[in-house]
This record gives sequence, structure tokens and C-alpha cells, in this order.
Amino acid sequence: MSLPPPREVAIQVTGLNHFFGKGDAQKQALHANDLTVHRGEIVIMTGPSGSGKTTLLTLIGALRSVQSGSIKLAGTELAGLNPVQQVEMRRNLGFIFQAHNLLDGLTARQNVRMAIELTATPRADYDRVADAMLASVGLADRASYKPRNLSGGQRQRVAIARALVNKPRLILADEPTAALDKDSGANVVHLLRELANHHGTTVMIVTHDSRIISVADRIVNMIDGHIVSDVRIKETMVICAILKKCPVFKEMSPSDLTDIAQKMTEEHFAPGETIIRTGDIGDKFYVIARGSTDITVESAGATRAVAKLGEGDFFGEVALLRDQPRNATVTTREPVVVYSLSKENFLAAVKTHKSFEDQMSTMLFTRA
Amino acid sequence: MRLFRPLPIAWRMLIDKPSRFVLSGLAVAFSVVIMFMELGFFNGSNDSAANLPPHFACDLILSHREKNHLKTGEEFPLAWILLARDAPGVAATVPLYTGADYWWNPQDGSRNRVYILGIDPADPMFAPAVVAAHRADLQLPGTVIYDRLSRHELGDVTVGTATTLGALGVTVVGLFELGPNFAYEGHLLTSAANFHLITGQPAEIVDLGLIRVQPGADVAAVRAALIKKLPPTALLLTPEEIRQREVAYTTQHSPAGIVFGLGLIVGFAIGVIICYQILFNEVNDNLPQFATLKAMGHSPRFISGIVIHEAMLMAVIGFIPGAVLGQGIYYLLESTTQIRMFLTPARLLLIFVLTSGMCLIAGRLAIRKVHTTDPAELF
Repeated sequence: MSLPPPREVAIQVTGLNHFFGKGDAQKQALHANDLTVHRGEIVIMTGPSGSGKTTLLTLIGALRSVQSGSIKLAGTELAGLNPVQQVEMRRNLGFIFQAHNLLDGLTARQNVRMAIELTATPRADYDRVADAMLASVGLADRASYKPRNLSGGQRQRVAIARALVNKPRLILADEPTAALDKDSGANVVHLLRELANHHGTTVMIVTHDSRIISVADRIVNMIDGHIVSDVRIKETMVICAILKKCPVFKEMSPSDLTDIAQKMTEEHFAPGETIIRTGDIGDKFYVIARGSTDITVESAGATRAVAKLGEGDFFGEVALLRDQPRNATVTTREPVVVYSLSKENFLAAVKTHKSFEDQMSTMLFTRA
Repeated sequence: MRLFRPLPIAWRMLIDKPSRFVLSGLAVAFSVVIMFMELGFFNGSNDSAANLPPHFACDLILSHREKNHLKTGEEFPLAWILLARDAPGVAATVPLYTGADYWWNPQDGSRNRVYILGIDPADPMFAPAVVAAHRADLQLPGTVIYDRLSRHELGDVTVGTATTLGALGVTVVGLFELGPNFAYEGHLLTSAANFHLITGQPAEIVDLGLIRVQPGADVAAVRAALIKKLPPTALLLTPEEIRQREVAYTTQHSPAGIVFGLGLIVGFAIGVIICYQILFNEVNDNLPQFATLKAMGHSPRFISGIVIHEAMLMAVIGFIPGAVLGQGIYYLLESTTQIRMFLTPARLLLIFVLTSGMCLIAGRLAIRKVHTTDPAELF
């Protein structure tokens, strides 16, 4: 298993606060939240009612004004936009609501056209584009049907076609599968996955539907206005797979490994850059997610290459366990992505599972 | 064409629920009929009150200054007519006597008030063609020309019908068309001599003086000369000025004009309320859809445009059956009351403008509801 290639940032949320009400009745709904979502990611937001996930979604969707902090969509700052600019911004987004909210008087094709009309598409192409989009959601033969003559799943697919027809770079969905049966829900999820994969569309979904968790690249959990966890599914699986190879962690449960993975920070290094240097105080443990490195040691005034580490390898644990300076230097051979765990978190994780002496023995034995 | 972009959407939204669409159309048509009726009565009142001036065949009409409309009192002495006759630029002057008396229905013996005009058969300056056709008969005592548009209550009257007018037996020697009004059931033309016999009004007491100026003379200059010559209580108006005064008097001072004018306003207000209720329900049923359009990035102007186009479509949809029904009711009322309710293109246009206005006001009110929706609430 390997990491997906690096992608541009689609959503950058920084220090975001939001308040409802005024004066004594004012209530803070979001507390200094940070979130970075990359292009093509599907992010599922979970959390109890009132946790702030919907507020965050509406702020990202330019449906509310940013009061404090920053939200950038593909580099465009939302804070400070006036209502007209917010409307303009929303034309680049796709919204899917729990209720389909289709105009009953219009056919499926005409409902989809309502979105196309917001673009520069020539009028003569409206129907062709709408029909193609409806065909892609499996409704080619229902284009001239009004919503009342469609099933719940078909109506939701029309709403999705309406949201997707302009190929928005960001789709915001609120419980898109809540009103759907298992198969219809699976179709919707499959469609979103295809969009993310083939068009680089970023998708944020607020849902309580555990059936669609598998589609997510990340799961962001919110409680009381705070992002309390942000699990990158693929990254976490990559990290856990590497951690599992490390004797210190190999007997840990997937749950414990996931906890550790979440505490690790992604770091990027350019070719030729030194990650750790002989003699430095050991402060982090590293796993290599992408790229390769050289390990060199210095003896008798000479530098000697002793090993090469690549994708799926780890290093830096000995200095942490012995509380000693680094005994080798790690230098990148090419662009490298590593995940690092602070000494404090590393030792806390180790102590939770085995006696310190056992850890030391195991580690030193395997390194011998 | 961007202005009409919401039109097809508005139309499809309106016709989506056919039963509601039909009921809405009928409700608007009901308002249109109310306005047609009130405008019809209003115009009927005005037109019938001003039915005499179009028949004057003179350049100036002399009356007492206190006579504020044609069918009221305030006479003046015959001497004013004689004074006017000698003024420079005047070709001829004749007195016109007017008054009301009872007409006995020749079939059932019932009596109704009719308005009588006493003219000079030799030079009437009032409906001259009609008088000319019966000039010889009018010279005879007890002869009248009957207004064939008089109300049916006066009986089945034709040439040769004999009955009693006031205290005098009269015979109909001819027919003409004038139409009744809200005060009198019909009109009669007779000679001045017969008028004096019927009403007992002496020849020296005149109601109106009809003045013809010499060919090529300037009416304004003649009027200025006459004003200098006549007493200050004399008033000189052209037939058109008289007509305008009659309409203004009916509109502003007569109970009928005021009641029907207010009725028109009430009909308009009822229409606004009905249209608002229809549009409010339409908007209320589609609030999440409107909010979704907002969320998608449709401008507030476009969304308002949908409601405004719905309002205008309702105006057209309600106006057509309303106009047909209104025309039918006009015909019915004309045939039963004999009050002429002319539906001219200008009046038709006025009702359409009023209908559009009431729907647009209702639409403007309904738009406020649309703009209270917050697309953020959709999540």
C-alpha cells in the first residue's frame, strides 16, 4: 500500500470561529478550527447534533459569512466576501441536500438545466448536457419525468445530477443517502467516488450513515465546535502497516495503532536534505511513506553509508528509547514524505503496552 | 431577453397543480369582474350623466353660474338670450327648456319620471337631424319625440303611442336615441310651446341658451364679448366644457359616481388580497426550492423574477375569462337597465393595467417571503 500522489489544497480552514446570537445570548458554535482538505478527497464529517459540523459546512459553502478566522477555497478567501460575491462563489460549488428540493413543476431535465443556466454553456447545448449528466446517474430514460413520477432514489439522483452537472470543484452534501435504500445509497456513493477520482472533485459529506463510511478518504469528527479527530484513512492505513513492522508496535491492536497514527505529523523533505543528524538529541520517531534515504555513520573521522531506507521503513526509535543522541545521519535521496511521532507520544504509546525494559530488550535485540 | 428568463419556470410552476391553477385563475377573474362592474357602473354613471352634450349643435351654451350641472335648476331670464343675440359674432341664439315630469306607462298605467327638453323646432341646435325629420309634427300640440333607449318601465312605446305626460295627453311622433341615466328613466324631445304646456314653466324662464357663432368667427373672442355684455351671473361654456363638467360633477359630487369610484378601489384591493393569498401559498409551498436556487447561486433578482412572472401570468390568465364574463354582464345590465356601459379599448386596457397592477403588488409582497429564506437552513 502506498500514499496517493500529493495534491493541491482545495479547502484551507484556519482558526475558524463562529458565533450565533448577540450579547448575552451569544453562543460560540465553532472554536478555532483548522482543517486542510486536498483536491479529490472525500471527507466525511461526523459528530453529534450541535457539534458544529453543519455550521462548518455552510461556512465552507459560502452560505454564511465568515466572522472570525479564514476559509480559502482553491486559494480564494471567503472572509470578507459581500453577499453578491458569496452568490458568485456558490456557483462554483455543488450542493446536495437531504431533501432533494427539486422544482415539482419541472422535469428532471429542466431541473438539471437550472444549474447549467448559471454557466456560460450555449443555450443550444443545455438539453444535451443535462441529458448526458442524467445518463451518468442512470436516469437517461427518466429525463422528461417530473419529480412526482420518480422514486425517492431517482429524485435524489436528479438532485445529484443537478449538483454535479457543472463539474464543481467542491461538493457539499448533507446526509445525501439518508432517504435512500441500500442500493440507491451505494449508487450515490459510487458516483461521488468516481467524481473524486476522475475529476478531482473534493467532496465533503455530513452524515450519520455508517454504510457510506467506506467511501471516505478522511473522517473528521467534531464535538462541541471542535475538530477532535481527523482520520486520513489511506494515510492511517499506510502508517499502521509500517508501524506493524516495527517491533515496538507489532503486538498492538489496530485500534491502538490508529491512535498512534493520528498523532503523527506529515513532513516533506527535498532531495539531499538531512532528516536527523548524528549527535542530535532524539526528539521524533519517523516512518517513511514515500521516497528513499541513506543512513550514514561517522567513525574514525570518516562518513560511511551503512544502509538505505525506503518506503515502508522506519527510524529514530533507538535514540528515544535510550534517551541518547542520534547515532546516525539520515539524508534523503529523492523527495521524501515521512510521518513523525514526537518523543513524548512515542514513549507514552510504548509504556502503555509493555514494560520499558521489555521494549528495550526487544528493540536492542532486533537491532543487534 | 434575460428579463423573461424566469417566465418558462414561472409558467411551469403555475400549471403544475392544475386544480389550483384553475381556482387561482377564477379567483383573479372574480376580481377582474368586480372591477369591470365598478368601472362599468362608474362610466355608465358618467356617460349617462353627460349624455346631452354630444347632441348640442352649437358653439356656446349660456347658463346661470349657479347651475353646476345640466339637470339641476337655476334658470335665467329670456332677456339674456336676446342680449346675446345682438352681440358681435353671434349668428343665432335659441332657448332650451329642460325639466322633469311623470310619464304614464301606456300599457300598465305606472308612472315614472322622464326628462323633457323643449326646443325651437325651427332651429333647435340640439339633435337637429332628429328634429328636422319631425319638424312639422312637433308644431302640433301634445307631440313628443321619444327616446327609444328609455327604460322598459316606461312601456312599449313606438310612433303613434299616446299617453299622459304630466297633466297633458301626448302622442309620440318620432324616436331618437339618448339613453337613461341614474336620475331619470328616459328622455323626451318636444317643442318649446309643448314644454310650456306640459310643465307650466313660462317662456321667460330659460334653462339654457344655445349660441351659434357666425361662420369664421373666433369662438373665444365671441365668448369674451358676450361675457362683457351679459350679467356677471352668466356662464358661457362650449359643449365639450359642459361634458367635462358633467363628468367631473358626477365623479366628485354625485353619490353614484363616488360609490362606484370607491367600489373600483375596493375591487382592486380585494384583487390584491386574493392574488397575494394565491402567490403566498405558491411561494410557501416552494420555499425549500427557492432556497436551493439561492444556494446554487441564482441571483435574488432571478428568484424575484419567478414570482413576478407568476404574478403577471395570473393577471393574464385571470383577465381573459374576467373580461369575457364582464362583457357578458355588461350586456345583461344594458339590456335590463338600458344604462349604456361602453367597453371601449381604452377601458379594456385600463382594467388590464389595474389587473396587472394588483397582481404585481401582490407579487411584490410575496417576494418578501421568498427573501426571508436562508439557504443555510437547508442543511
